[in-house]
Amino acid sequence: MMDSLLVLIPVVWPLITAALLLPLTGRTRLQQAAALVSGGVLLASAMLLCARTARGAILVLPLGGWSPRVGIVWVADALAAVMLLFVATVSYATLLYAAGSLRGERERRYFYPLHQFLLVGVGGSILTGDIFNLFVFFEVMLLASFALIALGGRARQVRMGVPYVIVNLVGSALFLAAVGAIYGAAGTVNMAELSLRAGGGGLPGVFWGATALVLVVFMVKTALFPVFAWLPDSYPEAPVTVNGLFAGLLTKVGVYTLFRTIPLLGGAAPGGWQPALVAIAATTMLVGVFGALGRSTIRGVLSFHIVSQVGYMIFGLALFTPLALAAGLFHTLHNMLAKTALVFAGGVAERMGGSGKLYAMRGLARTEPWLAAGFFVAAMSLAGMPPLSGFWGKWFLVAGGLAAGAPVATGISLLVGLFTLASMLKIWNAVFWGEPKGQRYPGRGRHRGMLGATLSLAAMSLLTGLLAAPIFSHLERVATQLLDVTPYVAAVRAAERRDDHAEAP
Amino acid sequence: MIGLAAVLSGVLFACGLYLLLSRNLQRMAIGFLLLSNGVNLFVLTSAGLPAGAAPPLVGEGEGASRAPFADPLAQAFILTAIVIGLGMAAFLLALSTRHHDASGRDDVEGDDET
Repeated sequence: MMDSLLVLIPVVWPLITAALLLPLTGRTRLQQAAALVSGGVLLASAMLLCARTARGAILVLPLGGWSPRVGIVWVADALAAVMLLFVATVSYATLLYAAGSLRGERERRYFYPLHQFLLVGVGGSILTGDIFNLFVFFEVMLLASFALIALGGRARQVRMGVPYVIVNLVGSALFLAAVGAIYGAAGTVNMAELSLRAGGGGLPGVFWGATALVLVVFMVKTALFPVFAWLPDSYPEAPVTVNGLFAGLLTKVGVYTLFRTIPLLGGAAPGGWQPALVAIAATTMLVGVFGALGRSTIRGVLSFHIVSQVGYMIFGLALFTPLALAAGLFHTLHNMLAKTALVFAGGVAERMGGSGKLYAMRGLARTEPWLAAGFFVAAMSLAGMPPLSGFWGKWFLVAGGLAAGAPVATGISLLVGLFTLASMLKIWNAVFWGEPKGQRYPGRGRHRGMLGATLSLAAMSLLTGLLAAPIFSHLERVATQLLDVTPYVAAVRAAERRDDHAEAP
Repeated sequence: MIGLAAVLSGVLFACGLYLLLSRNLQRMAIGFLLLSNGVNLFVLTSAGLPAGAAPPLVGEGEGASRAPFADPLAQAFILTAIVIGLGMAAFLLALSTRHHDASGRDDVEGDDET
């Protein structure tokens, strides 16, 4: 009972909250307070779920009592739990930040309910055990994100949002077609069953073609090379709060789905995919970092860096060893904290200068030391300076890459780290360093919630770096469980047997 | 039957993608509708369309028909997808209205800054 509740809460609780927030439309303060309370419950439940699954337990909830082969199952293992914990953390910080950052009635009016709907989609995508429901929750997440990215509805923002909308819609259509083809070829869409059948061999070529299409769609959602172009233009145009939320959550859900599906299905795939994945990861790192160097606004640079960082995560996955996989996971979690903190700090600076252009305003380190400290910690973490979380993410990744025999891609990851540092110093130099000038609206950026959210995320990045050893050893257990797919498959199938037993007279 | 459905689904895909490549938001909305219908037909076809299959309505007891019937799960997928497609189409139309209100035009111009 307790276990079922823990699996249900990450999806159902935000849905209930959203329904309760809608009648309060227009009463923004009340909405924010309610969303904060609800976010606290979500955070607590994610912690409980982490504790419950830490020893390798896998909670399976068959909804509606159907056998998992044809019905809907939700599965919570240690990977899902740790992702949910970080999702809840980032979303809580976003709520703190939102009050000071959202501008005007147009942006404030529907933000809080939409934020909850986004969480429904994210939670569902993480917990679902079959690919059709993954499609459904992707759509829930997308629809909420479409509305959020267009929040406020400035002409330029809508224009830049259109490619985001269209690319994701086409991606979803292809995803659904691939799910249909997989169902036609394998007779089920449950991931555990698919893993079993794929391992058994004898599936037609259609199945592998459709699986490849699904992976391409996940790559679109993750913003990997060569299907990342929807991201760098649309994100900086969204309101800062939304930009931070997306940077922390959306591409990471794509990363999560790749981490979930590739070990389940990829192990049995006909060869040749692993070098391709390593090459894609390395190219993504390079393209992302060079693209970022060419941008001229704070959030433009930061958003292009999302692409580069996603490359690191997928590099860890592509190596397919427990060490590298755990490193990829560590990097994912680190990035959710550091990237959101950076976007938040950049947003405050943008508010004070009245523009996001680099060099439009300088010297924030003198006038706003706390904000500058928050930015500096997160930026150095992203660039991989010890003892921050980003350093350990890269350290483990390099160790894993060398151990797995991929020296070229490992070298590229180090090189990209250097350019990341250059990029972060460019922002630091342009915005925070030097004599104060051009700070046209200093009062607008001084908001306790905004500063608090930025600083606490940066502090958590520091803490993750200081506690790297215990966190990483936990993630190594997670990665081992993920690579050895049998516990996952066995847990889902055990739920099926239990169900058959219950139905028997 | 399967051949016909496959060709029709391909035509819907092609027309939908062609329209989605346009800069005009209303054309994009129509393109999306065509594409999503093409996908629905594709899902129905890939789950198998046995000739002369009955609808998946199985009676109770011994008298139930033993004739082959269409796969109900694929139809459930499509039903869900239709609802989602409707939501997305509604959003696209709302977006094109919003874009028209904000910029006074119906097409999305190219990017001036890179």
